[in-house]
Parts: sequence; C-alpha cells; structure tokens
Amino acid sequence: MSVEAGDIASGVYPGQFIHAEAPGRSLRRAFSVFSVSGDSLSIIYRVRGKGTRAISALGKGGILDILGPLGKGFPRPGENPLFLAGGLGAAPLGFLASKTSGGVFLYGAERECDFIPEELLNIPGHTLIRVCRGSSGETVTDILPEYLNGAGALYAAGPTAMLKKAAGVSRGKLKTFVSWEETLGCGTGLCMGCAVKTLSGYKMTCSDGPVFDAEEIDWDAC
Amino acid sequence: MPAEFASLKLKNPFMAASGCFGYGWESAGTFGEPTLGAVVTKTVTPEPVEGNPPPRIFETESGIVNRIGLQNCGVREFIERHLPRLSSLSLPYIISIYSFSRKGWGPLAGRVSETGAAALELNLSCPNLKGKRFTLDSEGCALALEAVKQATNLPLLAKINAYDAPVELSCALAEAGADAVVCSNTLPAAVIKNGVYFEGGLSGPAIKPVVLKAVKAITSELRIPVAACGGISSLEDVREYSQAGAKAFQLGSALLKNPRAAEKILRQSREDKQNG
Repeated sequence: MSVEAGDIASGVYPGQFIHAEAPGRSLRRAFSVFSVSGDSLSIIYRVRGKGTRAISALGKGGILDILGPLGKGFPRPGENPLFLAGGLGAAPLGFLASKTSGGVFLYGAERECDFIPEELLNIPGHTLIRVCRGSSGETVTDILPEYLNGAGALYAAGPTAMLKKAAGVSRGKLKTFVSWEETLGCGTGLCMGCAVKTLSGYKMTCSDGPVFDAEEIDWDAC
Repeated sequence: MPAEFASLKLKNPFMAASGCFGYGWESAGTFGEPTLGAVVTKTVTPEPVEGNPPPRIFETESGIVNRIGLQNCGVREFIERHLPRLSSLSLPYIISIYSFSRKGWGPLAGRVSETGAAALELNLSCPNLKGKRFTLDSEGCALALEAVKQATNLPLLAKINAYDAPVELSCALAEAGADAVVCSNTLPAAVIKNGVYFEGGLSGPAIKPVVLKAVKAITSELRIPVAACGGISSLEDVREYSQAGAKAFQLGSALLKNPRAAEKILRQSREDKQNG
C-alpha cells in the first residue's frame, strides 16, 4: 500500500514504523516502512485479521489515519552488511538495503508466494539469496553461518523465533541488530504495553525499539 | 468548556486516565501540549515495579485487555526524572499512587504532595494486582485513603472499579475523606492468545455500559463528585455519562488510538453549539 504522507514520508528512516488506524478497531496497527518516494511511503502487509482487513478495505484513494515516523530504526550500515529477513521482515530490511550496496540479503519465507517479488524488493547492489522452507525444508537461519565471515554487521527482521536463532548464531562473531515484533498499544511509549525483556529490564518495543542491539535482549526470556 | 471538579478549576472536564499517558509529559514533544483539563500520571509506587512479562496488551471486540502490571520507575525516579518535565507543562497534573503495603500509603503521599501536583489519585482498583493488594475491600480502601489524607492537604481522587461494589466502596471512601471518585479502572477480564490464557483488565467501549450503571448508582446515592472513565471517545459518550451524573471525564483507551481524542470531543462540542 502506498500512502501520501507528507512530512512523515520525508522524515522516516529504515526500521521506523507508522501506526495506522484500523477502522472500527480499538488499537492501531504498526507497519514498518518499506520504501519512500517523495511525499509517499509504502508498506507491505498481509491481510491476516480484522485490522488488516479493515485497512485493506479502505481501497485506492481511501484515507488512512497514521502516526509516524515512530520508533528507533536501524543504525546506518557500514561496509559488507548482511541482512536476514523472515517473511514480511523483508520490508524494513529492503528499505535499509536500498540505502547501501555490496551486501548479502538472506531472505526466508514459508511459501514461494510469500516472497516480496524481486522487482519490488529492488535491491540491485546486493546478493539476494532466497530460502523457501516449504519447498526445501531448510530455513534461512540454517544457511546464516555460511555468510558471517567478512560481514560488517547483521541486520535481522522477522519472527521472534528466527531472531533468537540468528542472535545465537552470530553471538560473539558479528554485531547484530534485530527489529522486534510485539503487539503495540499507543505506539509512543506511553502505555507500556509492548514490553520486551532486556538485560537491563523491560524496554518498550515502540519507543526504545523496534530495533535493538541483539546483545541487549534477554533471549532466555523470549 | 471550563469545569470545576473536587475543588480543581480546570479549563475543560477532560483528563488523561492513569496508565494511558505515561508520566504526563512525554507526548508533548511529539503532539504538542494536550488540550486537557488535567493529566493523571501513570501510577507511582514507593519502589520501582518491573511489570508483567509480555504479552501485555490484547485487542478484543470493542475493547482492549491489558496486563501491564503497574510497571513504573518508583517515586524517587519519578520525582527526579519525570516531575521537572511534567511541571514544565502548563496544565494541571494529578499524581496516581499505589502502595503494596498498608503503611506505605502515607509516606508515599507525603513525598509527592509538595511537588506542585493539583491532586492525588489513589489507585485502589488495578485488576492486575488481584491477590497482592490489601485494598481489595471497602475497609482496606478507606484505611489507605485515611493514611493519605493525614499526609497531604491535596484533593484526593479515589479510583475504584465498577466491578467491586462501587456504591458501597464510594460510600466508605467519602466517609474517609475522599474528595472525588473516579469510576472505573479496567474491569477484570481474560483472553486466550495462541492457546494461552491471560488475565488482565478490560477497557474501551466494551465497558461503557457497565461503568455507566456504576456511575449512575454512585451519583444517585452519594453527593461525592464522580469522574467517569470507561469507553469515552465521543461527545455522545460524554453526554451519556453527564446524564448519569458524572462531572469530569477521563480518557484512556481512546488516547491510545488517538492522542488528540480530547481535542476531537471539544471540537464536536463547539460544532454542536454552532449548529444550535
């Protein structure tokens, strides 16, 4: 979905999100920004529940009430970045990768149809490697160890189980940043509903994150 | 829309409910200073509270269930870190307090009473503390209120739960010296997420009919002013609670969805007046 977003679009950085009102629902829905073009930003989502269905029903030309850009995004990548995307985690990482080149983009999904099409992902300066669990039985984290050597840092986004496995693989070898997923309340740190356990206590996904240094997370609590 | 509530003179009768607006100051940087009559801070306790492990928040039909677990930084850090920023705002602030122990209420109230707060709100009704609190019954709540009353001259708002015999409790609190009642905290509730059962507090439009009945029952029996809190997001909600006798209105879940919810209601009110 592409949204005419004015200053929100021009101010957004990869890893940050918008918080969109889902008509008729009590909570907003958070979406990582996938790309920005002028005053427009785009998000990629799958219709999974009542909120995304309500947003989808707005249709072309509809008005989406959004707050943003919110949260802390990824640090700016240095040389030889390594990206690890699971499912729709490819959205923020695709945006991040578009800001750099010369990296490797590992991209896993359950089914072939779950991948964001390569032409849409549009990361020509990187080596894209896709792993479809449904057809190969392999997960993207299975191949991660092969790509750690020589990488500058690892940037990961996707399901928590994938992030946990990736953080275990890269620990002590490669600086790792993860984009955390949790149900958000207010999206601005006020309600304390989106807690994530870190080694220094609970932090809020929306305002302290969603991007965290993997070394901060208390993975045993996840 | 000026309002007077429990001796507080407010520019309008709308307040941010405790727990939904952080420590009161944080959103001003992003959204500007809110057009509220007052803000109520997140509940502050004598010592820091870590809160519950995630997940903490769930959407239900017409509502939200939360199980934050009273996470807060404790009164010391609140005074050092949050109060200077909170007091720099022009709008009145009400500090919400809670003590796990009976003897802790008085000292806690004493520490925050000379901080420029317009009033204190006693959180006597957090459903996420069930089993840990002593303020479960009217007697316990009244004792807490009395202890606070002895420690401060500030107006005291008692936040109760529509679920917990609200008239009986309000009566006991009024006798103990409460200046106003806030009805209601979130209602005890449960959800199942991914096959796991979680208990928490339900808020939002789903609880409005329950709270409306409780507000009406209290205002019918007692003279203590009541602030309604439960599913308020529109002028119609305000009118209905007004009809039930409420004199002020706290916004909670509505602020999570729309940080400008009070402005929206005020705008509706102005438009309504212009249209006769």
